[in-house]
Amino acid sequence: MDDHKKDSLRSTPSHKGLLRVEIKLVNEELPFSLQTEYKNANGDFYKVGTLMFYLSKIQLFNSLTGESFQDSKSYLIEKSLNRTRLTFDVGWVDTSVVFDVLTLGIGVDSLQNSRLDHKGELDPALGMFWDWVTGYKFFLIEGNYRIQNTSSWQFFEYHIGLNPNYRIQRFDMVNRKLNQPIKFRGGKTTTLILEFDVAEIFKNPHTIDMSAVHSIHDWKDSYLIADNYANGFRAFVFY
Amino acid sequence: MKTKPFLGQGCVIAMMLLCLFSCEKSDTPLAAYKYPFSWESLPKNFPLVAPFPDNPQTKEGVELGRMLFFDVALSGANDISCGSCHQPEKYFSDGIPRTNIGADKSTLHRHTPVIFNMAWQNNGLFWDGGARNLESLSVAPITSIHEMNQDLKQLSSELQNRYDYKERFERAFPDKKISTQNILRALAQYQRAIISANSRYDKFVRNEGERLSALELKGLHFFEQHCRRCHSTDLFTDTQFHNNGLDSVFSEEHERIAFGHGRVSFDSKDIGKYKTPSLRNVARTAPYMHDGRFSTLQEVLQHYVNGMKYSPTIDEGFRRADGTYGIALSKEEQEAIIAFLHTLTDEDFLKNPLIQNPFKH
Repeated sequence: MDDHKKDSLRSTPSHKGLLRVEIKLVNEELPFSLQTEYKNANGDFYKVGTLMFYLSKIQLFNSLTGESFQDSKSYLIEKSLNRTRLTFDVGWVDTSVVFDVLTLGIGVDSLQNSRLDHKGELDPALGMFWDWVTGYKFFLIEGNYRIQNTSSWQFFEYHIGLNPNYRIQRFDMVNRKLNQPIKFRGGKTTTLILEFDVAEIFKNPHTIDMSAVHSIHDWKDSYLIADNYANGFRAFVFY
Repeated sequence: MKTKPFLGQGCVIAMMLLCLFSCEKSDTPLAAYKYPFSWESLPKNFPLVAPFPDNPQTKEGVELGRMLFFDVALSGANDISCGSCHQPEKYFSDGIPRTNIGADKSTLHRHTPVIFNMAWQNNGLFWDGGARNLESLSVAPITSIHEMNQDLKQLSSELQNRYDYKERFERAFPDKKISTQNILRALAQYQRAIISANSRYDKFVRNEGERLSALELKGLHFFEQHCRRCHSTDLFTDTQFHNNGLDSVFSEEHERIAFGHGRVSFDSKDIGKYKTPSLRNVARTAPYMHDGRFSTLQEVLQHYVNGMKYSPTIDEGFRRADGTYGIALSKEEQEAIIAFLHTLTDEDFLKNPLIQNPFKH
């Protein structure tokens, strides 16, 4: 834990609770794992070796009172053979407010995305940057795919970034992306489980034919994947 | 581009620059020299420079950046530095069309651009404008497998025990750390301090006792007529992107690198466009164009006279009355323009100790 977090803990008043986010990776409701063979909506088979993405601008709102909690940081999520990082602490939130809306960005917002001399989660040393244009890779998935009725595995990689692909998602009970209101208890942790269905990357609204779309490094085809993964998230809290 | 100083901005810059060269905190070699242009009085014939509040320049930052720029530790194999291609004696270019001294020895797709007057480059860097600022630019060459192939985590770690970097970072940055952020910022500070503004032309327009010959003055006249539209201001660039008719077809190969600015703007109207290079020191920085295809200034002018190729994004400013594209220049006009271009050579720049490789003595 870094000094900033320690200080934050020490100075936390009893009327605040900690918001923790835990990413749960699934593939069509079953637990997701690396290097496991899955079938996508187009009938292609794929195995994932690396999955990384940024989440940013996490905000909670009470839709009736307008009260909010706002966080401006970016968080790098990673599931790879080298590293698993699926949990992070966002900050301390007032216990007096019940929040019924969550919004977050998938990727890095345009201001942060305009330069690379950042520290922490946006340190380019973490490898999630473009070298041909200033900006971050918002979402990265790499692995192998096999077309139906063939036995040969090919490499696929989708590196998605660029400001138009920054996706802000809203989670509430009306759109059924949030199971219940988010509450906090003094000095306690509320864990927000953000479930991400990897199968959605290939499915909705664009069915991805991996023989045609298997390598994305710039703008071309990138919105197809960005549109899809934006639909892959659901939020849950349990007390 | 504005040429009149805006008072508020000017004050910020003056303070920033005053601090850079007068707040001496250490006994670095920098203290021993007087910079050709004190930062309080930027070249009078230059446009206003925008301030850099996210990375204010300090003497320590510039000096650290200079050391990093010439340190081979910035490459994965510890064999090349930024200065291996951006050589001070060649106005921070390398004199060859496209280098192949990078980690994988492949020939790069583009010519090594010069580095000077970067503080005024505020419309995208690289030939295609892909890098948005100097703080971000260096990440690409340092990490590219075709160039320096260095791992940024490894770099910060290596520098911890190298030379006196620890003390230098402590002096240069408030958080005192050797980090990617501070490496990038120091490199940016140094590159902004590389200024070329002391050519014969500069001394002439600043009334510093320099005279141009009749041929050079004639060349200036023709230059104003035919070239100023893009090579504007005394920076000799409009910092914009143009298709100057080098090619008629732009391949999609190599991730559309031939698209030029169109590759980074994602706009088909920008395909084949490249940034207008400054013409300062142009007589000494052959070869020319983004891929170094022309070896001499004569070849460049000949291209504009009768070598331009049509493509849909060609700059319409080159369209002639008969529908062809190019600039009508007689042999005499070409000779005069070339004579004028030689007046843009800044000999003092080469002697400036503050921008030289500190590892060479």
